[in-house]
Amino acid sequence: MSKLIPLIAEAGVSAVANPLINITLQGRHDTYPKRRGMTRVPELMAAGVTVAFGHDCVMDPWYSLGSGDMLEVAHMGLHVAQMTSQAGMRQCFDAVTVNAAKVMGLTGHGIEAGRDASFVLLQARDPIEAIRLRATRLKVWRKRQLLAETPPSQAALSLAGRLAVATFMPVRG
Amino acid sequence: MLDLLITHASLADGRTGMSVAVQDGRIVEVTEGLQAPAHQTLDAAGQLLSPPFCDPHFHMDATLRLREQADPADR
Repeated sequence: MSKLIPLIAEAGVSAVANPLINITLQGRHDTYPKRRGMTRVPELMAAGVTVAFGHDCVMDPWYSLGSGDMLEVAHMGLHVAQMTSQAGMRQCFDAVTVNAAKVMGLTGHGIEAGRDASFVLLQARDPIEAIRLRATRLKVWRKRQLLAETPPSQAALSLAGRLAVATFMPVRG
Repeated sequence: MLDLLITHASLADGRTGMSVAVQDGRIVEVTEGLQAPAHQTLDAAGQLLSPPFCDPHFHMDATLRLREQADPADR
């Protein structure tokens, strides 16, 4: 594999890992310690290969716990690949957004002038917080059309002398 | 006049306080602090505006048959 990675990069081949189903199925028959069943995501990325994450199974006989949530996919991928540095976590966000769009040749994707008015407003301040909280997708637009809205998530607390609400987003600065 | 103007958004690449202007289904400008007449203006302060999530390997399976309630599209 280590010999193949530079050739994969040179050939312009992309890679798609499916962390939810990979970690569920692969290594299942190992004794302990069990192997992690996902390809070499950080090594491929470091070599310049475009790596994206897919959900793969959502609700099928192999994996039935999905909801089509790509932040959940990024969350699992980050853990399985141990990509817990600041840069690594942002790369996992890219793996379900810009990298995935690149794999599929979606030229209108991205928040830049000239691209489609397709984007998602998240109840999070940055990509790492979005993954950490699997943040509420407040609004989803596709080519200017508002497709979906979800109210902000907050827990109402009934604890004397404490804050009345919690959003799990600590004050910064 | 713009169709949609989103202001004070944070972007996934680390930029903050960004305005995203939309006209005719496309993004026409992404810049800091833009104020312009628009049919709809949305203040996204403290929120992340992300490019769409894309799934490059996906099996629908039971998801295709998932019905939370009677859907007019099924008739």
